[in-house]
Amino acid sequence: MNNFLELQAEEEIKLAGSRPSLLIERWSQSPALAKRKFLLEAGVEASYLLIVDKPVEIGALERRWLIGPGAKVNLYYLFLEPLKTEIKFIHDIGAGAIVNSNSLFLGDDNDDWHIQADYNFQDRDSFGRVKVEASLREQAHLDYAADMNVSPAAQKSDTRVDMRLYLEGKARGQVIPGLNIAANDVKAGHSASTFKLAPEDLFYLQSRGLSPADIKKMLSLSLAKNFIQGFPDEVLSKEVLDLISVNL
Amino acid sequence: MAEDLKLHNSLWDDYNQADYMAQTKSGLDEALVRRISAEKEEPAWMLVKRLESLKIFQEKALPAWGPDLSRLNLDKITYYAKAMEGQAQSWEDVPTDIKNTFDKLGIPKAEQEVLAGVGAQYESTVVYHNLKAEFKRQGVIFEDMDLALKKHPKLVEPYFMKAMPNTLHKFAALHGAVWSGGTFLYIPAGVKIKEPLQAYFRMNAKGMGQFEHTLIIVESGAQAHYIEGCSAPRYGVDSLHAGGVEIYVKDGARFRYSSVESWSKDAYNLNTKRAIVEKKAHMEWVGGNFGSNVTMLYPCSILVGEEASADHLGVAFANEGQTQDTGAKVIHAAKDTSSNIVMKSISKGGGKAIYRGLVEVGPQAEGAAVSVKCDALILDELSVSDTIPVMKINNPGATIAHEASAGKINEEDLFYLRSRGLKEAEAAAMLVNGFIEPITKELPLEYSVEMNRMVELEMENSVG
Repeated sequence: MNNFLELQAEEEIKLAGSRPSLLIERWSQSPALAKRKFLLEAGVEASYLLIVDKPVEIGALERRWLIGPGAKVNLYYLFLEPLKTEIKFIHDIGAGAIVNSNSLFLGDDNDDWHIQADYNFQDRDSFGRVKVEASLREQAHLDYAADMNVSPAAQKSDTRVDMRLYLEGKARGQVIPGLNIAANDVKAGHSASTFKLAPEDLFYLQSRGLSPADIKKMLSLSLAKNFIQGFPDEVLSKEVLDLISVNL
Repeated sequence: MAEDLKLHNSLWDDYNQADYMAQTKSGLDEALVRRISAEKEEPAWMLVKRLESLKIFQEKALPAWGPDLSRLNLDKITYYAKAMEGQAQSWEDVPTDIKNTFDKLGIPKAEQEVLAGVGAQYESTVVYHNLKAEFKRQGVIFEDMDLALKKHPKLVEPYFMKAMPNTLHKFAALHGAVWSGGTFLYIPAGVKIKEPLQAYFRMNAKGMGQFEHTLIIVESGAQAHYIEGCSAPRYGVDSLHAGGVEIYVKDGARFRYSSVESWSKDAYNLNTKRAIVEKKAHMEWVGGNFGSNVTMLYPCSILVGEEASADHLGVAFANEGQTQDTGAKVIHAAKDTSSNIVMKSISKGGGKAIYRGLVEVGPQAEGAAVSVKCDALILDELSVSDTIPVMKINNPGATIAHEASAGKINEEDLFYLRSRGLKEAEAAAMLVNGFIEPITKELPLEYSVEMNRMVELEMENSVG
């Protein structure tokens, strides 16, 4: 059972103790705070879901994570509405800590996001998996730079960032999956790719009676299902899937 | 092996007396630019281009990104020096000390055995240039760039610094102001040359700058392979290389440009290389970057014709005190274009290897296909490896795949080789040579062997 916390106006959140925590920040239901800081003490387990599902005029968006030794955190960043500001995610990761970070962008019209995400592996035996997926249509645009910064002390760390874009119409994407490695005994990798339906798959789906709109919806839902994999709460998983479906 | 390698190292580190430097001075001003142009008896448009470039150079700031260049004192560089008057028609006419340098580098021997033509530049001017008669008969032009400007103005002017404009960055502007020597290569339509052509650029004197310009035009359906080698001895003061390479690959042509750069560890190697690739044409870059204090080099292919393609294969080795900031740029500007980038880097002894890449798919590049793979080996705890790939995708119909990894030498492989009697450094060198094999296998055998020897040299005293 998780500690469940729907975040309101707290700028700094400290987590301690052995019970896993689930933190939810949903902009259509809670204040859209520009900056928040999360401090996870050693050994803490937490999951965090940010849902940007309401257009908000905001000067900046920054989420900073200080992840203590041996802590484990699963991060879910879901963007359904654009932000006209720079978005910064900063993760300072201690020895033996585990970070799984998933981001999903579903954009259309003139939706636009500019994101810099830093994953700073500061000590040995840390582990990070960063996944960014986006489905962008019409004039939507995503500019995403993720930097995996492995310090000299972070020997035996294992890091990876994967970015996948699905583009349609005049949508555009710029991705920079960066690796900055200052330790030699590490595993580090990254990938960036675009994907699209093969013509034969498209033909097959249409021959089964699906309209182009149905097919697009199906694709986005498959991204959404990828995104919620590993969610700690089934009810929440369903809510997120429903929310995404409504926005398609 | 150690003695053998020491001997090999002297190929680059030995230097000759440079009495001609008494007639030169360091620093750059308009008078020097005018003097270079006047001495070369250039057409008026070239002087205008040089002066325009000088102005841009003086106005532009150093790059705000990448390695720190603030320690490079541009006032202490000698921008132009001639080691001999004129150009020799045979190696016997080259002054003995200069000829000996190129003999030790193996250039005349390679010319006899494997090359279709050779150019040799020493400081700011080309001292020897030759092309085998059979290729002259087919209309191939392989000249010193200074000479080509005089002999083939109608071929040179429409292309000169068009792929590499002087506004590109500060060091492209510097190059435009003080360029000297280099290669002009023209391959007529349909002509296919199997043997490679080679140019070798040697800096000899202390505090020298070298700014050769290479202009290559490969007409429709033609094929050729051109190799550049570069080196300089070590003095303990900065030297600067800001060469320029521009290549035009016309419809259906294929061209391979290979370079093995082994600058001294005093040198700033701030080189610019760009190719414009037309319909169904193919451009290949194969590069090895060794030596230098700082290298910033990102060969660029601009794919402007439908179904144009480019391969970029590169190796960079960053040893103690070095920054190898290298990579590749590909701009997809037409339908169904494709590119393949494979980069390998090794950092050791505190060296910093950086892969900096750009793949840009324009709105008109429907069906573009891109594959990028870069791998980094980090050999010790002091060394650093960065990978900064920028992917700009402006067409949904493009297929992009990028993959990269960084890590150390596999300890099991190392253990196995040591158990077979190899010393640790030898085993590590062998594994590093295996790591870069996808690149070296694309070079002619002699150059592939040379690159492996350079790895062995860099791996001396390695702890694995």
